[in-house]
Amino acid sequence: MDFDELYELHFHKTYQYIRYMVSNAQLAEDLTQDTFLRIYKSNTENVANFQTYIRQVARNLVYDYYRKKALIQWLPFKSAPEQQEFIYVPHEWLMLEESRKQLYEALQQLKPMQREVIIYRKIEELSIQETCDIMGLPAMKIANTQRSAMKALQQLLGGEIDEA
Amino acid sequence: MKLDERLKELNKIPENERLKQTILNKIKDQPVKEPISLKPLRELGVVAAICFIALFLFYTSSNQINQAASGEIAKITSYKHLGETGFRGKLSTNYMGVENITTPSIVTLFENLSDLPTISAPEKYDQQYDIVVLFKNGEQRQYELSWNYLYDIDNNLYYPGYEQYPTAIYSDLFDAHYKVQFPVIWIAVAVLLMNAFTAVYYNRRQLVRPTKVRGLGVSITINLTILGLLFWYHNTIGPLYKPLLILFAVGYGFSVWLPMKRQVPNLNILRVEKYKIMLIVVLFISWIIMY
Repeated sequence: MDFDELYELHFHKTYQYIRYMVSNAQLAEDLTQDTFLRIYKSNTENVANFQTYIRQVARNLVYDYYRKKALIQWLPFKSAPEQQEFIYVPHEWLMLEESRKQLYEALQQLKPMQREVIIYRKIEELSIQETCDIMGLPAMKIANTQRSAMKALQQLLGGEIDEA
Repeated sequence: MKLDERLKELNKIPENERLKQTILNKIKDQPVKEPISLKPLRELGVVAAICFIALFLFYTSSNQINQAASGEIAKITSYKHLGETGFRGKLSTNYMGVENITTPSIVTLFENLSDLPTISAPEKYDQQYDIVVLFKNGEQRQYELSWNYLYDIDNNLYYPGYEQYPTAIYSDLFDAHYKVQFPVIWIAVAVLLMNAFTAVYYNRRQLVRPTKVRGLGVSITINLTILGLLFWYHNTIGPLYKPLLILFAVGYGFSVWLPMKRQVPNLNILRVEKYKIMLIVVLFISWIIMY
């Protein structure tokens, strides 16, 4: 598949995933650019499923960012630019409606893996198999994480909303 | 509104065409080098490295040249000879079947060998021990020991066999060669169990293995040829060198994993197959080390 075609098809969902995972506009843009840059420079001849492939590249970059952040927090670089306060900037569209904003903020309080499962399974409505392929985890693990994430989300929202 | 429906709402984040175009332009501005695929060279390099190490081990594993014996004994090794061709004793226990038998009773026997009466050449049987004695001054001597004779190869002299020595000598020899070994049948059992487990795993996760892996047939043919050559070497030339066998075991694992890596459609299958190959290689290596 041509890169332009791939970009056209997958840009929005990739950006949306990264945006929900890092909750910072500038960082999400950088990570999205890195994701597609890697794909642009890589040999995709043997790629069987582009959706899974692109998501895995994006996922790796997001997790690399989390790891780097954790390492930097641990290292004593108090004055380094990396130590600057993380700027939490929700998407403007999310701010337009109070309930949407509230849900988004609750989502940000989940563990990264729980948040990821919610994004794939509940927001994007991917199948269990597609989620397994992207995350490289067994279906049982995905199902359990989804259950615990929904429970945590419900608690964060004050238990006022019924789970379907 | 139910939580599920509210979450679905979050999927409707509006598209930002300006951002999309900006990122695309930035990507397109990046210089893209034509990727130089080093993969075939890398794989060729690994195979060449294995071959060179094998040749190095093969050519550096020979024993020292025999010299006239004198002084105290440093080491005695034995190889149980079961009718194969030629003298097969080696000084290093890194050879398959070669055992260290430097026990006080055997050391005393070889240090006082000149005290034994010489006998005329007796009838030889298939089962004997090929013994190499290393003296502290670096000299080596070769002997054949059987129940009815002890043959000093270097001096062409025959002495009485272990039937006429104290029982400690034979029991030391017996203990060295009949130690508890890792039964080779367990490798076959482990392979069968692994295949059963992986079949269950693939079924449960609904993973489909490729029916035909291109290159696997060639790799198995090469491995079987090497195995045949090893049998031939063992039967006609001498005991096999353990580090060389370990290298072949690693080479076998690599040669099976490589075509698998190129063909499998799913990373989970590759991971399972990798663990399977690693376990088989580890079992082979354990067997080689314990032999």
